[in-house]
Amino acid sequence: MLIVVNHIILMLADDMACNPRNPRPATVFNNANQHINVYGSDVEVDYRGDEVTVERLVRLLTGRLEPSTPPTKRLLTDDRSNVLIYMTGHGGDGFLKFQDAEEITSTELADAFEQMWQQRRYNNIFFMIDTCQAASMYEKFYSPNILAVASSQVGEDSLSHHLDSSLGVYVIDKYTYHALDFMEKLRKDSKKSMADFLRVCPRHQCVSTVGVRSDLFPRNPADVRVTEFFGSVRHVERTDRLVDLGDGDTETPVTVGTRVETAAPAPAGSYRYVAQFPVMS
Amino acid sequence: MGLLTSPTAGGSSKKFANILIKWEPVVSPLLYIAGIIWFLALAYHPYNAGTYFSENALLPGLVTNEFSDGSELARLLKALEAEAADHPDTVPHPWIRAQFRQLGLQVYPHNFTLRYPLGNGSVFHGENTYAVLRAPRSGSTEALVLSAPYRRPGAPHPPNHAAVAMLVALAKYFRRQVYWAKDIVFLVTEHEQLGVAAWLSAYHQQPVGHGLLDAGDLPGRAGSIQAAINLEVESATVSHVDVLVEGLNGQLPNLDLVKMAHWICHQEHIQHTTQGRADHPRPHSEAGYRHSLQTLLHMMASQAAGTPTGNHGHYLRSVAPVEGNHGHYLRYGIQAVTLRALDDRSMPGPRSGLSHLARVLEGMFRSLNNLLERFHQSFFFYLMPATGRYISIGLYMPPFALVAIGIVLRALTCWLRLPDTDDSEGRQQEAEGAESDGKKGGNACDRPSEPCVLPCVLAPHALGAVTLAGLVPLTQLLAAAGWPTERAVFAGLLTVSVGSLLLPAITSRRSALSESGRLLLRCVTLIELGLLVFTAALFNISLALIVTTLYTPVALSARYYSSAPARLLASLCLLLVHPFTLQLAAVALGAPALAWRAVLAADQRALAVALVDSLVYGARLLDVACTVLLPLWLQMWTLVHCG
Repeated sequence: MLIVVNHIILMLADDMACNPRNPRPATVFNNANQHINVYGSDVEVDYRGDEVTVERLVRLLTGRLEPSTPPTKRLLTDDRSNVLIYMTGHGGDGFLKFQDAEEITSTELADAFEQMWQQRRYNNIFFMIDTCQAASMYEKFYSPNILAVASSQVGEDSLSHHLDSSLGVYVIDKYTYHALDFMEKLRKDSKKSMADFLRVCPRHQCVSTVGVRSDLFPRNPADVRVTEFFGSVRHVERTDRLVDLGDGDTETPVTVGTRVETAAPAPAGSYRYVAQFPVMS
Repeated sequence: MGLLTSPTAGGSSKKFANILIKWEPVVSPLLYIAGIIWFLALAYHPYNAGTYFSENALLPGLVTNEFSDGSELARLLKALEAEAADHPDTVPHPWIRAQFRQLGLQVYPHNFTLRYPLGNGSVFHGENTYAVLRAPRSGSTEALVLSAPYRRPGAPHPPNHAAVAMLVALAKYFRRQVYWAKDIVFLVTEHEQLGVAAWLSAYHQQPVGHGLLDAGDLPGRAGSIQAAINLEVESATVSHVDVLVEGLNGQLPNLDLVKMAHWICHQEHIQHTTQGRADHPRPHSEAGYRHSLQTLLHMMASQAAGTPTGNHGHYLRSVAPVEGNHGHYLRYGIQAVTLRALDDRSMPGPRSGLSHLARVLEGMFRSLNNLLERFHQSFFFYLMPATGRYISIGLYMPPFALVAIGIVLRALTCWLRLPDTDDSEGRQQEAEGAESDGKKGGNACDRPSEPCVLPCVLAPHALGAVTLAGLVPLTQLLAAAGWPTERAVFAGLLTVSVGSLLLPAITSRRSALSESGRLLLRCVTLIELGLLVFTAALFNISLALIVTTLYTPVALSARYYSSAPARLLASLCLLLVHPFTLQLAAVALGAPALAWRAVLAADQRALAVALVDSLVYGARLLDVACTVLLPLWLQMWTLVHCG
């Protein structure tokens, strides 16, 4: 199961891989058996350390980024895009902690999604959250086409799966562990539905109760394939309409994939380099 | 303020004053007794709380401790013992440094000098060795310290070679690990506390000891020290590990660190104790309560002494030397404990080897390595009745306040009972002046209508200050006459104590105290005592509670009795709580088996040690006893004897 790297925006506040306490430098494993290095060469961290703030996340979702932001740090979605949002960390009733200084509240997140909807930045959102009292984070959502799943109900703790005794740290949460287990068995042509995925980690495995919110989602999860959110499987539609790609001299927008770029205006006159060091007289 | 400035003005405040004057003599003793009962009840298991980890980053005991090189430890210990036998008069620094250097650590010497001020004033030189293991993948901004005092053969303390060997073996093991996020300093000190105090002083460039201790500078440093473990290992087999917490002036390390030390011992199945006492198996039973109470009182006795000597106050050190070098780290904001591994025959249960102990230390250092911030959570003010129980400041303060509140209430009633004069403002000014300011009070003496208590307050304080300042010159003077320091200090304090008993006769000859004058003197004395105990309670609850418990009854009853037997009884009670008597009693209680002559000798030593602690380390017990407690006592003595 794979999503193309440049379609993932990864925000990591902690640099676990390069933390001096990590006995296996530059690696992060999914569990204590150390079979899968989840910090391999195919991982790109787009926002790291102090860059991971609530403001950045909301700006990223709503597209209100500085003009200089590179495309890899932008969401660049439109009304045909299915967006998967996965969050994990320390949560409480109605918030998720960011760094040690701030937190995003469920209301802020719901409002950000509503802005996205009004800006036509998504077709469907699948929202996954693995924190304590995780269900409180999706309760405030009010925008259409959102399917949400949470690892625990309000008032419940979300527990970790097991301890890595060489690290001295609990390495993976129960819900994420079982969700990952489910994913690992999938292929690109899998026919599994979202309803199957939402059944992952029943109470006897998770200890906490997995919460699902599907009232905003117009379709029956049993009819939605998992690959619509996971796996970069594009839905291709044929069209008979001729698309004018332009000839490069005009200033009309050129559509390339889902990204919109504006061609640079033709240079007026010739340019020359100025002296590298201005001569002071 | 209306109440204080004008006690008899106005209707409601007068009513209140009358109620207070009427009921205070009944209420104060009742509150005193209630407070003591309440405090003693706190040792009972259901009335105190279990220790817990407040700092989640510690993640204690989650790693598998892997140290297993017991044979290397044994080899190092054997080599060090041979080295020590070859050089009985010096510390085998070359050997120790060579060991650390072989491991590739940065090794530095540290020299320090103490100009001993007492007696003939000799000069002591000492040398420490420390080795820094740099964190392989992080900046040297933070550090942990593992220290052990080196003890020469024949020193009064039990040998500590195993701890030094442990340092080397652990350094070798730690060196191979890649996960250190903080520098680790291995420190071998000489001259017990002095070495640690000097090293820390040099590390932080903070002079200690009034210029007596020349700590010099360090050739190399690690980062800011986050935590320290001081290690004492008395034998190669370990029956239990005692965790010593009390630091200088009753400072305590963060409870998270203490809990971590106990927890990791528990995880590694090594018996662990506090105050040298294991937990009672049935803490809810009556025997269990008595056991906890004794542990609590042990801790209080030790904390009250205010010297970092672990589980026996400084008065005992002269008998059975116990050092807790961790105590000096605390003054720099470094949380530290001493782990003292003993083989006590009376302790039941299995014995562990040194490699077992090494795994405990490994676990602790991995846990401390996880720290992201300084210790700041949990408690800094607590008392421990068992290894896993604590009485926080929130629990012990209310009963303490009940014990001490009688002092304040009685001071208030004394003030309210003062005869009314037209110039009540002037009287208040005079009372303030009598407490602190000599100039203002001096004018008050000129007014014939005002009671003159100034000499009765100032003279004892002056005497106390002169006593404290005069002790050092006295020992130097008497040393010329061939007196040993200990006897000189003892004789000096005894002379002052006995001689000052005549103070009431002198002060009352100059100005006889009227009835209202005595009342005012009582008021001032009680206010000063209240100030002392409530202030002390904030940083050394044990000292404050002991002083309060002993002084409240005598302070409440200190007044002039017209009948001679009552006066005699009051004098006797006062003599029993004289600071000098208390010191003697503490020594005698600490070593009940000794004959009186030995107790006297121990007391002399303890006084001299207290003076050295005050001069070199900044222990404040002797200072407070001389400059505050003794004058207060003398004021009470004046009250009883000034007719």
